[in-house]
Amino acid sequence: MMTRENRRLDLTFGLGLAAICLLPWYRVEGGFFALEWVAEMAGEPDLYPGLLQLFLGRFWLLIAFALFAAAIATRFTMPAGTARGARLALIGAIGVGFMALQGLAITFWGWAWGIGDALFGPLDPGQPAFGAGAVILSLGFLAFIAYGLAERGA
Amino acid sequence: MKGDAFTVGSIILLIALVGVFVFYPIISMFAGSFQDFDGSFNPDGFIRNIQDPAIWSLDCVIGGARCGVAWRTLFLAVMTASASTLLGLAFALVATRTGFPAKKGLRLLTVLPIITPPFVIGLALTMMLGRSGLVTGWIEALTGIELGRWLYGLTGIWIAQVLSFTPISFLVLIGVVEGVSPSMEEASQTLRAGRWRTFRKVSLPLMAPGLANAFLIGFIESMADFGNPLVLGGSHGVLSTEIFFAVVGAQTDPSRAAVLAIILLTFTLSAFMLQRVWLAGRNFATVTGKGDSGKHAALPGPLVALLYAIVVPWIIFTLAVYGMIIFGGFVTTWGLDHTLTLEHYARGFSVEWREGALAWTGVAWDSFWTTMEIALIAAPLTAAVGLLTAYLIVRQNFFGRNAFEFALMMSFAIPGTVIGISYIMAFNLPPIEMTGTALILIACFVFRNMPVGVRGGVAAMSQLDKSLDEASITLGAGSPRTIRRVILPLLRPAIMAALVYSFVRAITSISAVIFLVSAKYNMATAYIVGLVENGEYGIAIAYSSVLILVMITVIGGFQLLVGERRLRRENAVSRPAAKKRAQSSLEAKA
Repeated sequence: MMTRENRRLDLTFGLGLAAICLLPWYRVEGGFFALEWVAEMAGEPDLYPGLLQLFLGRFWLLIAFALFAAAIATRFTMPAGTARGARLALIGAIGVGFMALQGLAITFWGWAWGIGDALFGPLDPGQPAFGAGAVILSLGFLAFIAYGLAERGA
Repeated sequence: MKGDAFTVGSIILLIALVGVFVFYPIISMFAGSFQDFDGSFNPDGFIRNIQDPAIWSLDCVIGGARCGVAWRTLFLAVMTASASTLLGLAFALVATRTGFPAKKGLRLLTVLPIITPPFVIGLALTMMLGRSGLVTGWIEALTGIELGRWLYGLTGIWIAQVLSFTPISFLVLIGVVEGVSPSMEEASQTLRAGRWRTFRKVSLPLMAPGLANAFLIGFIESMADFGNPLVLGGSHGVLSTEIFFAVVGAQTDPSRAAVLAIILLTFTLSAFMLQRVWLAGRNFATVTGKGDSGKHAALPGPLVALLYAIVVPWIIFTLAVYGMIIFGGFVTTWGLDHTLTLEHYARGFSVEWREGALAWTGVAWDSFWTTMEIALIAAPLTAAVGLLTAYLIVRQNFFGRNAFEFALMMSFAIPGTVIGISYIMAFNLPPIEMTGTALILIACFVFRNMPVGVRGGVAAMSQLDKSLDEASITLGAGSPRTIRRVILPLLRPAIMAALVYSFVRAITSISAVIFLVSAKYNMATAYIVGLVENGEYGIAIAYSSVLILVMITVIGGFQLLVGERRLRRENAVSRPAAKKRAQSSLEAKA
């Protein structure tokens, strides 16, 4: 059944998938809105979308994608209502938290804080700043919180 | 409004935005003060700087040469706030309680600080009273005394700040002075108190909250002022300029900049909190439902004479300063060669017809168009974010609403220099890297000017009866539709005010902007400050007058638009009763 709750969720899923699979995940040097990245994307690993970044050693992004997939699974396995809303809001909150945490913790040269080196060993490669893909996926997680809370009846 | 995705979504989005663009930079700045260049934890810089005698020394009290920069800034802010509050009160009394002939003109004065880039007053003062200033020349010719550099330092900054901020405190106080109920004054006079006693014991105490407000605004503005100290400070810097030089100066020391910014922030936030605590739990209600004659008690004669003696010279002084701004753009070299010329305007704003196309050859065009572009993008965003926030605060009830409102209002007390330094510390490295882009300038303007949009929106929205949107929601419209079809049309004046204010502020502000401009995105004010530092006063002044002219045009256009709205409503014949009522209450406000 296609309700209003499901429609807005599906829209968010579409945008999130585009952010993961199509848009450059990290910051584009010449400016995103110059749109030069469209032509250069294929030959430039820095411009790869999030899904391909996984294979460049940035495996931690998998956690974010898994959370996103969990949201999709929740949408199709549970009926719209209080329980699903709570689950979605929780996934969204963890997602936003994880995006912020990984962004702050992993910089150009690996771990930003000494505790990362101590716990997991040195990290190579690091990562540049958020780009269109990362920002839109974060917004998607925010949307999960909002829609989840709305479904719960906040 | 249970389960409304739009409302919940807006709240969450706003919290996220304020978190990223207000709190994250401030926290980064705190963290930055404890970090080494490579980012590792190292409190040495913080400890060294927080104990620096150049900041905290109290030498001048015990007869030494000078006090630390923190005390100097605090002293300057208190002096500026006191003087501008007293002058503002004098102006407000003259405008409302006396038979002063040019009251309308006095009110025009309140527009001036909004459209004047902040350092322009300092610049004009140098031209009048500086080493080779016009008035300095006269005095030296008359008396033969060498005046020298007395203007450069705290005295000069103080004069410039009082000139700049008196109109603001006038604006704050005029409403308060008008609001004091005449019936109280009448009662006092019926009980046979004289005019003087009535003024001292009844009128003045009732104005206390207004005075406190004007003082607070003067205090924060003085602390945050960057342009005037930069032009007039010489070697006697204040906190905001010291922060700047700690970042761009010969010995770059981000930790020092962060420490100074934290001190500055502590001062302004303490003033903000103190005022809130002081005003909480006091009652100054003076506007009551009871009828009164509407005529205020006359002021005692000697007081009127005193007020005139203060106000009239100050008006002449202000006019002279602004005259200097216009005049200065038209002379060849200030202080040396006073032949009239259009050379500065030509250098700044020349246009040529080259190969069938218009070529903007003047040196100022580049930064001018960037400024216009960024201001035009930022203004609607500011208005939208501000009014959406106002809607949520007034109309929705959500967990943490008061904290949300307080956090927003608190960002009003963050000086521009602190915003600038915190933005470069936060947005220069992953995860969010924005320095050198137009985006960082836009974000800075939106979140810096938003509190004003929120205040305007809250005031306007409280006047709209809640039954209007309840009716719309009962009839099945969601909250986005209610906002679009019912609330926004009724808020038109507030929207326009927010738009114009944010547009004008984006053009005139300097303190935060000077940290954020880049070669590609240079703003007019930062460019003018660069000109001043190179000693090119003529073109700097010419550019400033062009900016003032542009903003007068914009404000004039805005008033025309508002006027149109009123005209159309008078022509309307029939309307739903509820809407009419809300509009007439709006009209009463306008």
